[in-house]
Amino acid sequence: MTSPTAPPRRRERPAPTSTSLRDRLFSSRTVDEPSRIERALYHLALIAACIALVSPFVYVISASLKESTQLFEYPPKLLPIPPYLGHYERLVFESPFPRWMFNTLFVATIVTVAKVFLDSMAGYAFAKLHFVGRNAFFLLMVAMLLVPYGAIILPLYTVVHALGIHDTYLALILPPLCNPLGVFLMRQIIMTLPKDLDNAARLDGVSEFGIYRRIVLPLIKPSLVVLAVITFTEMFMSFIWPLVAVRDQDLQVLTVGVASMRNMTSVNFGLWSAAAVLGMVPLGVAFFLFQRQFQARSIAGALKQ
Amino acid sequence: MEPCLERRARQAEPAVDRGVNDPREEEITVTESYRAIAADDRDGRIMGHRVIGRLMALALSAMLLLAACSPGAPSNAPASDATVSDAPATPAASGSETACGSSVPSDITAEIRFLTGPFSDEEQAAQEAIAAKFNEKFPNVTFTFELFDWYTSRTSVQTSLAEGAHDIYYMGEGDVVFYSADDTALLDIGPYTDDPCYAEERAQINGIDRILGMSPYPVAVPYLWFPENALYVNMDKVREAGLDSTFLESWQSFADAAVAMSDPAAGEYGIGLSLHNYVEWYGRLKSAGADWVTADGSAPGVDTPEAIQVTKDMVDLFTRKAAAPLGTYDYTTGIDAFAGGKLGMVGYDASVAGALTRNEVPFEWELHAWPPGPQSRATVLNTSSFAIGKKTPNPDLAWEVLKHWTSAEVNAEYAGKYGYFPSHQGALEGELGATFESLIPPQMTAARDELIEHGVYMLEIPEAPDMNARATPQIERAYAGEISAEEAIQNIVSIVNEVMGF
Amino acid sequence: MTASSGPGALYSPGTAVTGMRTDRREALSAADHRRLRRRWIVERNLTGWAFVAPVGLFFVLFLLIPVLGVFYWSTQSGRLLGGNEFVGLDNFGRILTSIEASGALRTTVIFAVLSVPAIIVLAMVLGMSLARVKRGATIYRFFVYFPVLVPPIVIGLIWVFLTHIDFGMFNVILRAVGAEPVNWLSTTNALPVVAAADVWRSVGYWAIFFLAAFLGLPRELYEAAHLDGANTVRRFWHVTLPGIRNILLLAVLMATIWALQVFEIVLVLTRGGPGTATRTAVYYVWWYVFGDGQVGLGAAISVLLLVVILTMSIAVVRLIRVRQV
Repeated sequence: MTSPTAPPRRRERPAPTSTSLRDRLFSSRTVDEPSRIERALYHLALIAACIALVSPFVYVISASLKESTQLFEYPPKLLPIPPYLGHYERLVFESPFPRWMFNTLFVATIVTVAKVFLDSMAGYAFAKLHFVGRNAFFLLMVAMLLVPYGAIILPLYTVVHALGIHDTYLALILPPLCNPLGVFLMRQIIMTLPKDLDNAARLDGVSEFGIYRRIVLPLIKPSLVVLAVITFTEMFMSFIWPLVAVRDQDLQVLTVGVASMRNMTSVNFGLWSAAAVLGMVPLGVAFFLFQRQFQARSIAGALKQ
Repeated sequence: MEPCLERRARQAEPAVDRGVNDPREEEITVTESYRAIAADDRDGRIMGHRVIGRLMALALSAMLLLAACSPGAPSNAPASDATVSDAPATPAASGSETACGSSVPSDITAEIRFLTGPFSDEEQAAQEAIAAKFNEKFPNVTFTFELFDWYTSRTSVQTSLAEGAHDIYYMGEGDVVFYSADDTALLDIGPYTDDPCYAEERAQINGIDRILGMSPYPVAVPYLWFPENALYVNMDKVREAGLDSTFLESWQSFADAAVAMSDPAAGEYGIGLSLHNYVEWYGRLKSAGADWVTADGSAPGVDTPEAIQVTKDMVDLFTRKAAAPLGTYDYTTGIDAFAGGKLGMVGYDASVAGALTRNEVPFEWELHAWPPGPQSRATVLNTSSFAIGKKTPNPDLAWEVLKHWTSAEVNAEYAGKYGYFPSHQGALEGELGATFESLIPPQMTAARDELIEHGVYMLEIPEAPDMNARATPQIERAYAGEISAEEAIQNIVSIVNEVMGF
Repeated sequence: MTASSGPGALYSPGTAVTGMRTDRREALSAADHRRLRRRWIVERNLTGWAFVAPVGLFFVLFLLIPVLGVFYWSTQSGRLLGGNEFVGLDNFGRILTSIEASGALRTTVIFAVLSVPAIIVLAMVLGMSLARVKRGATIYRFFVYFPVLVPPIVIGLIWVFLTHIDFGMFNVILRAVGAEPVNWLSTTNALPVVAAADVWRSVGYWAIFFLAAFLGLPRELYEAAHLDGANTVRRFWHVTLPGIRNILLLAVLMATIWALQVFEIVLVLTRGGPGTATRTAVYYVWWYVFGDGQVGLGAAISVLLLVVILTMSIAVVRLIRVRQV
């Protein structure tokens, strides 16, 4: 997402007089181009990392396609021929897995859409509007960014219980809406818009909401996508809150459901690995489609300065 | 004129070309760009057509509405605090002294919700089969069965009791004591169980008096009992080591046998300990003649020399490499390991018996009580009971359901199929008894007398499950060699002091 | 949208203040002006708060009140839904004396010490590598970042496989090269293994983070260093590192905060570990509150966690600010 503002300038050093092997390997012709050996090392590091990071997934996929008895085989085969689809069948047709998946997608979508709009509204207000208590409240919200979720599950549970919405979809939807990170990001982004853009609109008598809707929103669309991606991902990965908020099996989300499989009386590694594989699919697909925005998650953290 | 007004007036003046250095040139440009954006939007090019925007808003609000009114919505939650008073339900028993029939009309339409544990992988189907039989008498009663997860069962049951989300609850022994500690959770079934019409049935249920007497007022009726942690022995391996089942007659021979069956280099061990670690050590404590608290309940009772000795004996198994090191297997993978011949013996609950039989393991196995400690040969038993939640809307119907689920007919099949012993005597006699015998794994039948003779139960105070849950990790640390047996016992003493408030 | 109004129109947020649109530059009376301004300010405030209200409401309900609530609950003892009584600061004392709670803090700190440096160093290496290779960067980035998107629960499940004594991937590899299989989840190994799982999972996130940081450094510095004859290592040490100092501090802070909150991986992989080996702070919070019925103790641990995180954040922010001037 960040790129140098100026086109890369190449300042060449005078051509080396000797063409010894050492020079060819270790010296670099330009400042920003690494020497051959340096580049080889980088590639090596990356390949090693990729192997370390990807091989467990390959292993799990392979396990999910094996019957339980085949798991103990040594040496283990990578892909059994023919692949055994029984685990997937059992997961999709005979377990609550599809329900979990639906619940998670449902809740994640609603929260994402709602958060994008609500956070950008609040961000716009913090960035461009003046009202009493603006800075104080914003500071308060930012201070709460550091609060670990695990620390507040108890009182959060009490609040949700008092409101009477526990064990409903609302219990899964409403609390995540309060994450101040979205508001913070939106404010930062909207603050970078030209200062008098909205002033000019106000001159024409456009309502504040109109300014927000017609001017600000279109201009920050890329950031909206990033926020959507961040929110969607977090909803998919949240565990401790859905664990305590919702007890009804019909409302359970993916993470809690998969965890509950771990505690079943009978061991079924094949089933577990199939669940793990299917559990990674939604985010994996989303990642494939929105790669840049996903990686912007990391960079959004840098904005927090 | 006041400065702000002046400023505003100036801003609104028509654009006048004042040259490139005019600071307001920025304004003019911005105003133009704004107009361009607004013009674009008017054609619907940026935010999309207005209709689509409105449709999306509609869809979003529809989804929110759907979420709020979903099946789990509070408006559908039955028996809110306002409708069910705290007064104990007036049982119909008092009104029907003459006839001993049920006071519940057979065409009653209601829903009964169960919260029980996953006792087998076919639990849902098994419960539904029992429900089908109930429907023969009460055809319009529908059932929902919810299975909690053992690991989070406390939370599930607690919250459900508080909300009145279920009618019938599974209770282990510790649960009966724990949940009845305050009287807002479970229904008082005394009026039902003291009813003379129930007396005949009651006389046939083994252990019912103990269970009814466990709580301040009667709440639960048992339907089966089982060893919570018994010894499963791979007899093929025993024989390979040149032994027979007499090795269980003393601790020494038992320990030696475990060593003989071990081959750490091949990843095989004589025994798998702390896999189903719930009450495994407690059994050893009882065999040493000790308990959490002393007999008068005034001080910790765990730090007797015998208790330390039995703990050391267990640690010894690890030191001699007869027991698989902690972390090699856990509750679920340990069963596999035993079935796969990697462990000669394991300590597990009764459900494993059913699983081993169904999976037809290729070796001969037996079930036994644990070998003797200094004072006795204790093996911890547990009883499964059902209780009724206090906030159930129809206590009489719930009682009928409870009676059905604790009857001989139901349990002869259910208990036998999954490897448990029915509490109801009628399930062991006559035709039902024959059904039970045919279903239950023969190893369980063979062990039955041994288990009854040496069976002990967890101490019946509300704090016992907590102390057990907290003591177990300390014992495991001793197994791992992190602390000594004496230190573990000392830690447990401070836990007992903390929990009991000594 | 109205057309641009003529000169003299007053700035008004949204609804026009009727009757005050003047084409005449009349001087308004001071009183009128004050009244007008007051109305205008009130409307301005209302509008501002109207925008913030939805998020603000949820924020107060579901974040602010719970944070205050944690402090309240830490002074209580009792079960989840009832039976509380005030015990003052008793619970905090129990954290120190209770064998388990003090062990929880120790375990959490050790976990953070194991995982955070590994994450940061590896992420910097990968970030640098990604910044400096040209071909295949996209593919590398995809694979490196992928584990970040797997829910921690699934990570735990995957690692249950990898660490299984008989057919886990690690031991299969060990056996293939003729080494002894290792009991990965033993009392001594469990915590490092959990830390390794966390590192494996998080490295991608921070790698991209550092990638952005490296790419954002100005080239002029490098050129100057190059002309001065610095080689790669010296260049990194003297140019790159100071350049990303603030970002690095931030990364360390955030990674540590997340490490202190580890829970899901522990729950699925080791369930608190053999004995108490992997029982971390949040694990105990969950256990005390929802399993053991000692709500106050769980809340006290939460308060402690909050305070520690807050202190660390303030310290790091100070460090960053100091140099920025």
